[in-house]
Amino acid sequence: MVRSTGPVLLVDDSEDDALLMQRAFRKSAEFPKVQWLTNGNDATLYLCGHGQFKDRTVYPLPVLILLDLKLPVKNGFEVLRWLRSYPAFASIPVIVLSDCIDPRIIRRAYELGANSFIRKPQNEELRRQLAELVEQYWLGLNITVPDEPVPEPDR
Amino acid sequence: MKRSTQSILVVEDDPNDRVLLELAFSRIGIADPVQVVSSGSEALAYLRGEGGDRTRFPYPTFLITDLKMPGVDGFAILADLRANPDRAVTPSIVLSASSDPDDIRLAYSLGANSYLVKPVELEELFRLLKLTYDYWRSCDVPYTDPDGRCVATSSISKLGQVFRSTQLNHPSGHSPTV
Repeated sequence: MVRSTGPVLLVDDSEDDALLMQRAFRKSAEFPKVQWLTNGNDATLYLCGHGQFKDRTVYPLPVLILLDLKLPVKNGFEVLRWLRSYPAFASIPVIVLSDCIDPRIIRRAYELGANSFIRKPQNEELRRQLAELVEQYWLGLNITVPDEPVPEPDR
Repeated sequence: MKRSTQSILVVEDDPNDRVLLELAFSRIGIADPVQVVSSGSEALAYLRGEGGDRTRFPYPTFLITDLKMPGVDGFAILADLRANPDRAVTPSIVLSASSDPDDIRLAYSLGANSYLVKPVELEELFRLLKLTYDYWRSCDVPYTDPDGRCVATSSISKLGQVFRSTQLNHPSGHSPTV
């Protein structure tokens, strides 16, 4: 049983939404560092440790991914599908955090391997509650294991 | 989307652990119905709606299952859920005494949404279940009919992805696919 010590990867092209969530997470002194990425392609490069993210001491593998769906370059569904096709990332929890509450979208996210789907909170109190629940549940309770070797990024 | 009726299915073969889980659920004051079954085969029958009245035994909003059970084990439950996409993609939480990395890896590879290790202390179990309930109740899960089948129709999504769909009560008895 291993508790990883990496960052939380927040993948969201909305600067406002990302900053608000980061602020909510910072209310807890023990919350890990949040690494913010603005598009799906950067998410895959980060996970592979390529391009600007090749220094693993600066950009370690995340313990948790918070993933928006409407992203440029590669959308959230594409990131999910890519991520779950590699055993290296099989046990990194992915929470989809999205404005979209279409039931088909929700189902699709779970089908593609999202661990959880949460509607983006609309006020500070709800963001704070979510941050607390995410920290306590995914980082405090949920168990993962060390992953296998990381793949090369798609060409 | 939050379902209007939420319910939890718990699968635990050990009678002592079942008592503790039921005690924990009553202690934390869960409003939603909790169905506790004592074997994997009972769980599969429940999920398939065999012999049960769905108004009394609704399809679960999420599932908590032990792993190591005789006969149909937790791995088989996970595999069955994955093999039946016409039913709801039900968030499945493993609650097991095992912290063996191979068990953890296999559970995730079979589609477990979360893996929790059973605590030894009773108060820790209460805390675990309360947090689990609070967290999963705050999540959105696929919208289903009372039998657990997803209510959806084929369409081009906003993200340009065509969905395979299950349409209820189709006249031909078959589901249209795209």
